[in-house]
Amino acid sequence: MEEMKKSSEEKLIKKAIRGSDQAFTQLIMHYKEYLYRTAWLYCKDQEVALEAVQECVARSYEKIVTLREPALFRTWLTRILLNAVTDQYRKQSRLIYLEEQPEQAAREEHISQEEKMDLHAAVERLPEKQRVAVILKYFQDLKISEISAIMEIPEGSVKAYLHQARKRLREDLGREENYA
Amino acid sequence: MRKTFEIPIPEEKLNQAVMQGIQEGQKRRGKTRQRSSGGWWSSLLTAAVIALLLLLSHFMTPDVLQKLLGTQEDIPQQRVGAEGEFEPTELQEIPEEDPSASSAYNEDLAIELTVTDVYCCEDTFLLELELVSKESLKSQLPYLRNLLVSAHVGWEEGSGYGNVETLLTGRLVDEHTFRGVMSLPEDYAAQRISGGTGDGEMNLGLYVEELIAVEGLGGQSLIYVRQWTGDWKLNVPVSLQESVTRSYNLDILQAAGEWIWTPLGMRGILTEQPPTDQLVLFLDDSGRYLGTFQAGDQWEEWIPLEDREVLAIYMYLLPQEEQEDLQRLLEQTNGGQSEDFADGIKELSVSAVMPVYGEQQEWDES
Repeated sequence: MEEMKKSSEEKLIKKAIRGSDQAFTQLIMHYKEYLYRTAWLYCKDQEVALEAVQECVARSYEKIVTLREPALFRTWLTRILLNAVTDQYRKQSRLIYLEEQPEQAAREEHISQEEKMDLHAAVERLPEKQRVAVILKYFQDLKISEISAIMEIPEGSVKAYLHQARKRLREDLGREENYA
Repeated sequence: MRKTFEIPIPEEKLNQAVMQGIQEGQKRRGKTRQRSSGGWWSSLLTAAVIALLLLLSHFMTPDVLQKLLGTQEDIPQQRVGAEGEFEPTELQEIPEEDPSASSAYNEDLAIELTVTDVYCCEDTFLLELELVSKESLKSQLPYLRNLLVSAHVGWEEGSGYGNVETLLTGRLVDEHTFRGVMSLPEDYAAQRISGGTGDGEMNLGLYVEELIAVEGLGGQSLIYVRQWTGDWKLNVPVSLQESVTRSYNLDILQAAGEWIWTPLGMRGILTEQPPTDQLVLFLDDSGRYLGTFQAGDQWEEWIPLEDREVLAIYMYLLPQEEQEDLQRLLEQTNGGQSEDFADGIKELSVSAVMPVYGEQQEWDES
């Protein structure tokens, strides 16, 4: 059944690359929740995540004819999403910075113990590359090789980011936990 | 770690974002293409998305569909576009074929497709299509009711060919044969009529590329259960016929819609939703299953009438929690086509039974 799904998806991807609108729509309908979750995990903001998904869909629609390897569709799509979410996030961050800098700074200084216990918040506080690696690896179950392709860094670097992230999370959450 | 979080999905907003993304992508790609090869591409893509979305409509709320696509009646106008950018699409690589062939056999798949009847009048254009497979369909797809047909369609007079993805609704008539009715987009009939051909005959070219057996329409997720990819090239003589379409209003039980009859098939269209905790089930006067309406559905399957005359339609209301029992019953009774189906329905918690159309009702002749 998995094989059938995989082969059926590959056919759809090939059709989408050849310009089939139906195939592209079916693929996106299949991946939409994955895209939203990934975007949301990255920015923790529904509106930003939705805008990023929308932009990702537009960009991928525009560019899918350039996708050479159907097997890398999810990787390719995720990379587009992360670029889109970063763009959206930056826009949003700039806005916050200009308008709400004092409040934001105050919030960062007074992170509550309860918030510290929250893994979401802890992941959010990771440096960007570690955060991306953690989201893709542990929240979306992507392979190291896929994350490497998405982030355009060697697999060794992905592992290093994950190692650093796990260490930092353990410290941040103040307890030992097996995330692997 | 992954199971620690449940991220709520804003379904409606997400669907909207996806569709707006596709539309934005179409615009961007359209701009690129227009520079090099003209602007028909985005119209073609839009039409294809619309066709697919209609099939996927149960994923979305009617509100979202309404916002994105407009009403059913709007769609042909949307294809033409306010600025008249619609141009007939070209079909590439259609091999020469016997112009009178209304059936085609694909040797690789051992499947023959035959257009057994055509009905074209006003805004209704129906094809009755028969699929005969060498391998047993019944053993693999015993409850087959829907085939998704991907095809290129066009008139021989050069009005152009377009991509069509539409549902062939019907049933297995024997071990190897599926027969159903499918409707083509309304603009095919419009082209037929606006061509000023009167009662003369024209040939419809139908180049079928893909058939997909579909399960789960009408309240469930769309599941592809079997796919055949191949070539079937058909040419079908079509005559303009006098309208004998009949419709009947269905404005009861907080739901509204209508049934439309043609000589080939009938179609139920729901325009207002039934109560959300109820499933609306339609049976014919022989107690056979016709279809189901559910809150959120825009059900409009064509039901073939080739071997039966429906004298009455009965509507049953079932609580949502009975849906699994209904599915089980459908599976036990050949998709609701055996006489046991009506008896089985009566054993469920039917909360209301009433005739929607029958002797006590009058036709609304149109």
